[in-house]
Amino acid sequence: MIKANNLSKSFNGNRIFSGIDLSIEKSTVLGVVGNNGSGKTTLLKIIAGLINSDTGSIKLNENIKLDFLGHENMLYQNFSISENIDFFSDISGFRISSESQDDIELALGLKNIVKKKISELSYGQRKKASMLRSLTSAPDLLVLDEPFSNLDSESTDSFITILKTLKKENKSFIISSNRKDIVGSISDDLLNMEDFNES
Amino acid sequence: MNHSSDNIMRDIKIFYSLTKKDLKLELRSLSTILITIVFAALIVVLFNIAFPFGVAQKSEIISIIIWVVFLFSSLIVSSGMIELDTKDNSLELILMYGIKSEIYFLSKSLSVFIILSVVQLTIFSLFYVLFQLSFQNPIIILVAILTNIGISSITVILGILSIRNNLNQNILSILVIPFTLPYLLGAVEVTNQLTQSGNINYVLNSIYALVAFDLIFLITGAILIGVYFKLEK
Repeated sequence: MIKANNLSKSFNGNRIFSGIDLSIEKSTVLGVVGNNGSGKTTLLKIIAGLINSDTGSIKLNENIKLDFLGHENMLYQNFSISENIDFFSDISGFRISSESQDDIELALGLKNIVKKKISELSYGQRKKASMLRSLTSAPDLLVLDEPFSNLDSESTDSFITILKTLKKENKSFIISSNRKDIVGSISDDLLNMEDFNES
Repeated sequence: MNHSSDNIMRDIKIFYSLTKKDLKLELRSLSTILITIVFAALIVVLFNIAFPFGVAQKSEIISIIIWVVFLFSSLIVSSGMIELDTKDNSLELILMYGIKSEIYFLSKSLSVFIILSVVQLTIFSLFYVLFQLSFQNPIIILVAILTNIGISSITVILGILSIRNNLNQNILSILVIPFTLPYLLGAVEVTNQLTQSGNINYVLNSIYALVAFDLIFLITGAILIGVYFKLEK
């Protein structure tokens, strides 16, 4: 599905990481772990095509739909959850069925607040809203940067359940986190960024 | 053939969605429009106090003031409209979905143009009330639209280029002056002629120049923003 070779990245002359090779097949989860500043977000943004690596290459199979969930919620604060989903679906051209969306809304506990503006939601609800947004674009590969940070355990559990369900439907995920325990429990493979950092 | 017409339809749909999103967000908060109108009204009122009626060459001075007020209003509008996408990094998602940079640039320019037209109407009304300036010649509407297109595209170009610049939006107000000076001179000249003599023959060359400037800025803007987004990766 996606294959990357010899990825490296520097900022202002400081090498963040180098020599990363990775491969993700259908229906797999790759966990990316490492301390703060180890380059997890940078690697995920390179995979999502948001920034370029200094070296190496990434090959994606044709017709692979990829979506990204970043640190920021990437949603318009004056739009409701459903308006954000409508807008991003319009520009991406992809959307899951309304039944599937209902199921995810229910699982994330957002069913009754989809008409609320993002600015009226709590931090945790915003995080879940951006998860919902990323899942509704029907991605084949979902790149998730620290999806569990600041989520309560109930929401974390429901999100993991959704990921496991989607994995059975041939979806793949790359998940970065400081929490090796959670990521390790759902990942097929783990990539430790510290192995690729300059010492 | 079908494939290319599908692509054009998709581009039009995306252009419409991006512009609709900008206008809907702005109309919901009204933050940019209100700030800009208050700013413009304040300057117009201050000038009204500073220039008592009967001052020599009043109409020449007023023609300059109109477009200077309008230029600085456009900076506020442009910054506000670009911030909609950068505040929570939604721009990254828009770019990740492979939206063409020229579509993004043109839709953002149209959003700024529409909001700026509302501001422009307010500014013209204020000048009519406070300075008894006559806008009876319909050509002034054409000049206003042409100038608005150019200033919208210039401020959007500079606004996007300064997104990731450390100096950010502060640099916009400095950069915009040399770019818009020849533009404003043309607009001032046309306004001057139309409010005084009303003879279109005196202003035809300036109108052609405004059309040429619009095309240059729209085309170079679309190309430049594409190059910028690629380099920024």
